[in-house]
Amino acid sequence: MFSSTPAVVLEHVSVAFARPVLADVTLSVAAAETLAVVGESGSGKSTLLRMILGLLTPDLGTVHVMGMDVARVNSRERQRLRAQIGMVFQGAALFDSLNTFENVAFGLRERGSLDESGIRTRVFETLRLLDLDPDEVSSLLPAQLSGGMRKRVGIARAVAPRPQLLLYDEPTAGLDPLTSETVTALMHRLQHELHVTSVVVSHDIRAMMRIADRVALLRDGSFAFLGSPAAMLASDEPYTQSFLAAA
Amino acid sequence: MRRLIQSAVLSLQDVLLLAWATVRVFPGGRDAGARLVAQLDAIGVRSIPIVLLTGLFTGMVLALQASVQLAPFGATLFVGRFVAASMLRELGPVLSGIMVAGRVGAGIAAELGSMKVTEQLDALETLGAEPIRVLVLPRVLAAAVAVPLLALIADAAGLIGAAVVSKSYLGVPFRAFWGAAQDQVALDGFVAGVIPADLVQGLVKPLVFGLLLSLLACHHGLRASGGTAGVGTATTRAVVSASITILIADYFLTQFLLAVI
Repeated sequence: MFSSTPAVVLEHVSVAFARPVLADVTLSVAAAETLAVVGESGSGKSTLLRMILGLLTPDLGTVHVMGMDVARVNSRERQRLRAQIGMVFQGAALFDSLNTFENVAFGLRERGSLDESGIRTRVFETLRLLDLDPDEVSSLLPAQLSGGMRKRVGIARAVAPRPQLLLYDEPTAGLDPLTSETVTALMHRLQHELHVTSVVVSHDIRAMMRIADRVALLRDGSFAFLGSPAAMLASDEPYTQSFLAAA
Repeated sequence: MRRLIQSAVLSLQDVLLLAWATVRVFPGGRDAGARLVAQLDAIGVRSIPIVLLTGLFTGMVLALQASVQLAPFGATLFVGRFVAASMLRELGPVLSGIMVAGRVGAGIAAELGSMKVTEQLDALETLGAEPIRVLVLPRVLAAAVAVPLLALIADAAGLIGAAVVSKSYLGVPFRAFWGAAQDQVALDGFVAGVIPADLVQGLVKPLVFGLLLSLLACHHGLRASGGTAGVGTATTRAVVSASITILIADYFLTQFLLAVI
C-alpha cells in the first residue's frame, strides 16, 4: 500500500524547554501514509510537527524528512526540502495584508517554477479542490472570510505547490461540528486525489479514526499507543482506553 | 542590576545578529525592489506630515527662545545662526529619528509581532520565504534612506518656521535671517571643500538612527510572544528602546563627527 522509503523518520528524539516535551520518540511515516498524532494539550504534538518542518531542532536524536537530516541541511537544501512540505496552521496563519488569491499564490511565487498564468490556473484549481469558488473568494482578505473558509484557504495555500508531505496542526480546532466535518472530508479527499503523505495533529480523535492509516497517542512526550485505528479501538492499554472514552 | 546588564547584553547580541543576518540577505532577491518601494512609502512618505509639523514648530520655538536670549544684546540678527546650527546638527536629525521611532517603530513591532504570534512568520518560512529577507531587509533599507530625507524636511520646515517668527515678532527681514543662517553653515566648515559639515552631520546621524530604530523595532517584533498582550509589550519596548538608543547614539555620533569633520 505504501512506498518502502519512509517520508519521515524520527529516531530517539528528545526535546525540552522548561520541562521535557518529547522523550526518546522514534517514529517512521511511510510515503502516502496518513498518520494522526493525538494527545492531551501540552503532550508535545505541535512540537513534533515543528521539528519535522525544521523550525525546531531536537536536543537529542535525528529527524529525517525525504531522506534528509533536517538539523544538518544547509539553507539551500532546507529551501529545497521545505518546497516539498506543506503546512496547515492551527489558526490558518493567512497573511493579513494579502487577499485569498495572493495567499494561495505566495508559495508558488516563492518557488518560481510557474509563470503568472500557470500560477493563476493552479490557484483556481486548488481553490476548487477545496470547494471554494475562485471568483467569489479570490479578492477577499482573510478578515473577510469565515473561520471554515480561512481554514480551507490555509489548506489550499499548503497544497497549491503540490507538496509530497502535508502537515496539519489542529485542522478542525475552533470550527463548528458541520464545518469540522467538511474540513475532515476535504482532508480525506486530498489524500486520495493527491496521494500525499500526511501527518495530522488533532484533538478530534473521532475524525482521525476515519482518515488515519495509523494513530499515535502522545502522553507526556512519548507514545502511549502507535498503531492502526482498529488496533487502537481494541487496545486494552489503560491510558488509551481512557483517552478514547473521554473523546 | 546584574540581571539587567545581562539582559541588555543579550539584547545587544541579538540585535547585532539580526543586523548581520540582514546584511547577508542583501540585496533581497526577487521582488526586493517592490518591497523596498512599499516600505519607503510606509516609513518615509507617510511620515512627512508629522516630521513637517515637528520641524516647523520646533524652529518657531527656537526663534522665540533665541530672541529672548539675544534681544538684550541687540543681537536678534543672529537668530538665523542659532536656529541653523541647532536644527541642522541636532534637532532635525534627533526629532525626525524619534518621531519615526514612535510612528514607524511601533508599527513595525506591532506588525511583525502579530505575524509572530499568529504563526504567519512560520508560514512564511514553510512557504520558502525567509522572514529576514522579506520583512526585515526592506524595512531597514527604507528607514536608512527615509530618515535622512525626513531630517532634511524637518530642517527646512524648522528654518522656514523660524524665519517667519523672526520676521513677525522680531522684525528680522527674511534676507537677513537666511544670510545669518548661511554664514553659520559656512562658519562650521565644509567637507572636501564643498559639502557643508552641518549637512554631513545632519545626514549621517539620521542614517544611523534609521538603521537603529528599524533594527530594534524588527528585533522586538520578531521576539514577541504571548498573544496580543505580547504584541503590546513588544511595541512599547520597540518605541522606548529606539528613542533612548537614538539619544545615546546621538552623543557618541556627535563626539565622533566633531573629531573627524
